[in-house]
Amino acid sequence: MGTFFKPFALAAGVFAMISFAGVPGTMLGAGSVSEAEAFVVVAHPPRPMAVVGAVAVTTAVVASTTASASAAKQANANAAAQANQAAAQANQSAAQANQAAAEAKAAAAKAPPAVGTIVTTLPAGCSQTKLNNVDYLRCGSTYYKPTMAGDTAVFVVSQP
Amino acid sequence: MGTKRVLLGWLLPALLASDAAVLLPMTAQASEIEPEAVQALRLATDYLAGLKQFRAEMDTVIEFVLPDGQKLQSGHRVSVAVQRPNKLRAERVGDIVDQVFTFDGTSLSIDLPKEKYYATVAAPPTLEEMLDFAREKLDVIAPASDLIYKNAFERLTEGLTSAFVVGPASVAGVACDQLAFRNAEVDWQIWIERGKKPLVRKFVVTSKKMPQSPQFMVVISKWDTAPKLADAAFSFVPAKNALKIDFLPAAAAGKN
Repeated sequence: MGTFFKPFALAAGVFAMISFAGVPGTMLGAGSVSEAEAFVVVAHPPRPMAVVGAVAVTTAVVASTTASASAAKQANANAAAQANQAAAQANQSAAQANQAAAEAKAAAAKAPPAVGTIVTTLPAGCSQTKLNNVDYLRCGSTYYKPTMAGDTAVFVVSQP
Repeated sequence: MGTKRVLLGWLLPALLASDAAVLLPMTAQASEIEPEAVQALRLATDYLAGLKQFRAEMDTVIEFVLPDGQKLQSGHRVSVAVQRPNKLRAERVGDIVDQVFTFDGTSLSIDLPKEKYYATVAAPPTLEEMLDFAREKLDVIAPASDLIYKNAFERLTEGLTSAFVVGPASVAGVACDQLAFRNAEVDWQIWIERGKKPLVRKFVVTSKKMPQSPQFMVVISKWDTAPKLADAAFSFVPAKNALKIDFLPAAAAGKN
């Protein structure tokens, strides 16, 4: 748990749970929490549906250094998702959390998502397509591969 | 985040045989470990571990804390069917997710019927090993995991700093005994049905080190300790229009 709280205290960053990560289990409902309402959650019980031993509270994510809900709401779904992913990878390090925030900002600024980026919600106007026998969701010129992260579907930016 | 004691079992089975413990009247919070409370928990966990199969229906509530301190709750209905030693089916439906977990002794599948995605992976041959595998390799924690582990008692009581019997209580009309426990990370309470079957009826975990101490609660409204479960109930058959997707390795999926 320590590793969770440390960054929490340090990082100006907040553990924002943009997709209600962590509810009964893990990243909950990614896809279901849409761009419309990205909650910034600073705390929630650690994996309640789970078992002892699963200490992770950490599907929680860092969204921005300002931690304001309104800021998070302004970020588009991709931004939030990217922050989410970035934060996950940051492994709760405060420094990396800051980086996640930066990435969120970048995403919010409409920067095209890099290959490997994981988002929990897709931009509008995507269509399903199959290339080399692999299913993708094509959104504009970007291809997303649906993938199971924990017990939630996420979308990985791919280069077919 | 290793796997240490935080006890968040979600279903902590505890059980109090009607004559097993001497219940104290509502007592002041104790800082010691009352043997009666631990014994009552042990009875419940042993009872569950001894069930060859069971089915349970429950409602869960989890709290989220917003930056300004406001708390929100979100609820799910969960249905779990277990057949020892190697079968599980769990459905979780609610505000945030809609999922079906299936373990047939060979493979673990997670189905997201709303999104029309599912993933299947080969899994170890027993429930306990499968749960460990799912958590460690896939970042997946199946509903009711705490109920399922045969060593639930040891898992739940690791690092215990306080335990006491609160007293008689009622959960949705069912007469229970309420127990309260603490460890370094969380405080938790459990309500165990009085009578012949020491079934867990309610479980509350308070994450006291988090801002605003959010809680997780589950109320088990229905127990069937001798269900008729066909093997087919544990076999996953994807919907025709569902898309099979791969699991992201746990390291990439996130935490733990």
